[in-house]
Amino acid sequence: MYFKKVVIVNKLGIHARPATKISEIANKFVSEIYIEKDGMIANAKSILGILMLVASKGTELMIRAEGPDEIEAVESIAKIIEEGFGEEI
Amino acid sequence: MKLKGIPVVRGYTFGEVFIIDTNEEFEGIEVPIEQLEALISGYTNYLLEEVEGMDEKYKEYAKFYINLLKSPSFISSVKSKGNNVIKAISLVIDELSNNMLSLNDEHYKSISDELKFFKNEFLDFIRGKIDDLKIRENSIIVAKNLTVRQSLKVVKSNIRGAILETFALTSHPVLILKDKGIPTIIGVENAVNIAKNYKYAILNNDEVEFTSQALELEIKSPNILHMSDEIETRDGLKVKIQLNIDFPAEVENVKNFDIGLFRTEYLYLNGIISKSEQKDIYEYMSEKIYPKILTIRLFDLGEDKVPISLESTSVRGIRYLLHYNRELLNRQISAIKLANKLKNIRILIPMVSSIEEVIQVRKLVEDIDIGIMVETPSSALITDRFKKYVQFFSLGTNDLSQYTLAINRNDISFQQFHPSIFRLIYYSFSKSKPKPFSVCGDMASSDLGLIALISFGIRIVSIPISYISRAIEIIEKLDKQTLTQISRKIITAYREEEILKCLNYYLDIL
Repeated sequence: MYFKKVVIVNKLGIHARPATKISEIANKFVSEIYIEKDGMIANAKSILGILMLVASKGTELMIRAEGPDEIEAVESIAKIIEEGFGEEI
Repeated sequence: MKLKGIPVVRGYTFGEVFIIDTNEEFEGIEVPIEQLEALISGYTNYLLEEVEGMDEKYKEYAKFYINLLKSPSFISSVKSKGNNVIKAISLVIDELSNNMLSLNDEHYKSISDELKFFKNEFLDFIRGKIDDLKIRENSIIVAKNLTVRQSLKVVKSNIRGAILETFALTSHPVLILKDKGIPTIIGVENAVNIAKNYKYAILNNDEVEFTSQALELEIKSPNILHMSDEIETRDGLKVKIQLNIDFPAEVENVKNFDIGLFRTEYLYLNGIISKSEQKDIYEYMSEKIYPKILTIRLFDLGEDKVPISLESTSVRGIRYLLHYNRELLNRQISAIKLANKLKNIRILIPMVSSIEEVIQVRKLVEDIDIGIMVETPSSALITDRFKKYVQFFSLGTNDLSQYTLAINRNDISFQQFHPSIFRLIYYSFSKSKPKPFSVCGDMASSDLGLIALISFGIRIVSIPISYISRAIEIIEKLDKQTLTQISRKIITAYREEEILKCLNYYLDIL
């Protein structure tokens, strides 16, 4: 298992478009990937789950993955969150 | 019927109303839950087809819904809600939408609103009743909100504007319209129901006006775009038709006509007074009608035309601008100068009574043609004196009549066809030569008045769009001999009664 903590930096937080991006990336990996916020756990491959985390700017998230490509999976998702999804910071 | 909203893309435009309504009645329809996955992949393909070849950004908008439908938690939630797909999906999406709404966050509110429309569309798809949406070209669409698929259809359809009831500023459909620069107003309450009773919509920044009349002519004479603005009488006298307009967007339908009078008060009353806003509008109009001429009348404010925001003054038109609101005048003239890139704009000065007023305006603008409204007895009586300072004249009959007769034009004893009015018109016209002289007042857009003016030798009339067909019909029936008889009768008449009788007689036998 591999995990990493990230903080949301973009102004609008995880709304529809970022959630779409996360689930798009997550679905490229075979590992099970989860995102956690204050004890709530969402399947990163499910846009609905991600959306319902309601993660706004400044929120800390834990990304966790287990499987053959777990490191790459976590790093890829962490990267896009840290980059603010290419949106306004 | 006027409604207010929130402008997403500001602009002026008008067109036929095209309503995109949503079906919200799904009672009594059953589809077995076993078909869920097949339906989801069917809808996914359908949506993907719509975004095929479009910008990556739009594909992402579609993916949001595709990923939502395919997400494991969505599928398991739906399956847990019973055996009827229609009902189960309805419950799950409603629940999701309500959850998002309760988060009290603008963005989630937007998605929540959008989800409801998405739900209806998906359910329509399931029932095989999805509307393929053949949107009429050049129309203005009116809807509660759109789905991503509908808004993509809309932007592909060459529409002129969009009116939405939703307040979801950041919803995908609104973002798509915004991205494409389509004039859009949102938050227009009850727009769909109201629009059902009207034929056309005029969009003006934050305001929508629904009407059934304004553009009827467009339907009656579909060729108006290609019509010539020069009409011949039976024996070949040429009369030129110009147009009086209030809304900037009216230029969309009449590219072959000079604008003889653009009343800018309308802009003022709508708060469009900054230099840049004015410039954009004038420039847009000038480009639309080029190489035809755009005559912009300076703000005619003051006296009874005072908007509440202005102090009440006893003067109007150019006197008001020169003596009470110089800054407004300067701003309007600068805007006109900046907009006149194609050199087809002229300036018309309202309520002029002395030479000095023209000289003052001339000081502000050197290389644009200037004309005056002949609408005070003083200016009519010294028309020849103005010739040195102006490039054209435009006579306004309403004010000229009421100031000559010293009576309000709504009074029962007001005589629009009083002999004195005709003497003044005839005198002013004959002293204006060789400068172009047009009549833009109401008299030119009444059957009797039009005949009288042409009989005097006036060859340019500026009229509203709605009167074009009728004016052409009348002009084409006139001839020299009839016109001479009419003018002789008018000039020799003692009373209004005689003039009316004569004009009515000739109108009948035309």
